[in-house]
Amino acid sequence: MHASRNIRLCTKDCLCLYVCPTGASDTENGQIDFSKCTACGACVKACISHAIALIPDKDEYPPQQKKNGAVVSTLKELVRSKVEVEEAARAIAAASSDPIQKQLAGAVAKSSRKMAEDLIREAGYMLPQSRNTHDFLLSLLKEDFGSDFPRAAVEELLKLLPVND
Amino acid sequence: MRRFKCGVCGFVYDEAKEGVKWDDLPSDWVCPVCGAPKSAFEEVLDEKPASQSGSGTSAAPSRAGQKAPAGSSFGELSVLCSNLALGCDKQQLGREKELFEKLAGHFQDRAEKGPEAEFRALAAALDRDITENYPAAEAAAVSDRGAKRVLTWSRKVTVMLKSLLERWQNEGEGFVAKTNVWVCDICGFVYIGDVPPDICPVCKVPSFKILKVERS
Repeated sequence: MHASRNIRLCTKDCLCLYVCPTGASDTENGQIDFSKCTACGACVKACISHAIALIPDKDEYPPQQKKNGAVVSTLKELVRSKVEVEEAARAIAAASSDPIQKQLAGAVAKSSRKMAEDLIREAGYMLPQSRNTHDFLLSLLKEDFGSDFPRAAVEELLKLLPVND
Repeated sequence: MRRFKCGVCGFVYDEAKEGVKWDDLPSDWVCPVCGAPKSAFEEVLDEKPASQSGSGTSAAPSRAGQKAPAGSSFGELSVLCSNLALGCDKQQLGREKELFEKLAGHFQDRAEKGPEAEFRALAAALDRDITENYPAAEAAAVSDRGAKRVLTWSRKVTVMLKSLLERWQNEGEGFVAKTNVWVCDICGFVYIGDVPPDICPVCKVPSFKILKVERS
């Protein structure tokens, strides 16, 4: 675990600075220095605006919920449909010379992307630490996507993300 | 006296309270809460038609979906990566988020350039979701709370999108021209109005997560 500050709630009363044994809460960017935090919880108890919580380290999350096959396949069908709408809306936005039509088409594209992300999340890709994500990343390395494919990004993700199921 | 319920936010229009018959409302009347048009409303009938088709699909082996999505389009790969970037962002994993965003951007650049469709064609695709894809997914998701959640939210957003595109066809761009366009960054709800609602009518997130779409 480590402490994390919700910057939107922080009212700069600074009691966290007074109680932190390592100085992890005193930073210039407003967030706690996770690498210095010992998860003692003193800042969480001291904060009068309830702006700090202890959150799990990336290897501390439990496995995600298992999904049944019919749920996965019907959700993926919807993802396909949302992607089609997003792409068509993007094409309208690109081709139109009317700024208002561009704006509405842009909103439709963005909305469709949000829905698609949420749908695929519930189709077995909630946690970046899941086996599904790991298998997905491995599968990307097996494909031939051409020389401009950022392979190094995939390799780095495989190193950075633990697998928890 | 009749009552009509908004399919997006749940607001109920009660003729007895409002003093104006539903049928007498102008065709460009919209829901006072979320801005959904008349077509997104359904009449509230006292007698509930018992349409509970409890045919929950039997649980398939839970390893389904374990494999990477073979045959996925670049657009779908982009969505998967941008979703995982969001997952990393929620856990405050900055570097991992950046890497997934890079992949999402790469796949999006390679995604199909959609056919130069018109809004009318989009409305047809949204309609297919509402009449076919959502009912099928909802039947499969009877015992999956998370799937039910996303289906409820995104069906409402889809109804809203379809209504907006229909308004565009029927009224022209006037209803957008003098005001702002907003998209909820959590569920995708689209709102046309000067300021966004205090909370998203679909997913209930506070308004600071409802973002303005600028006009270029």
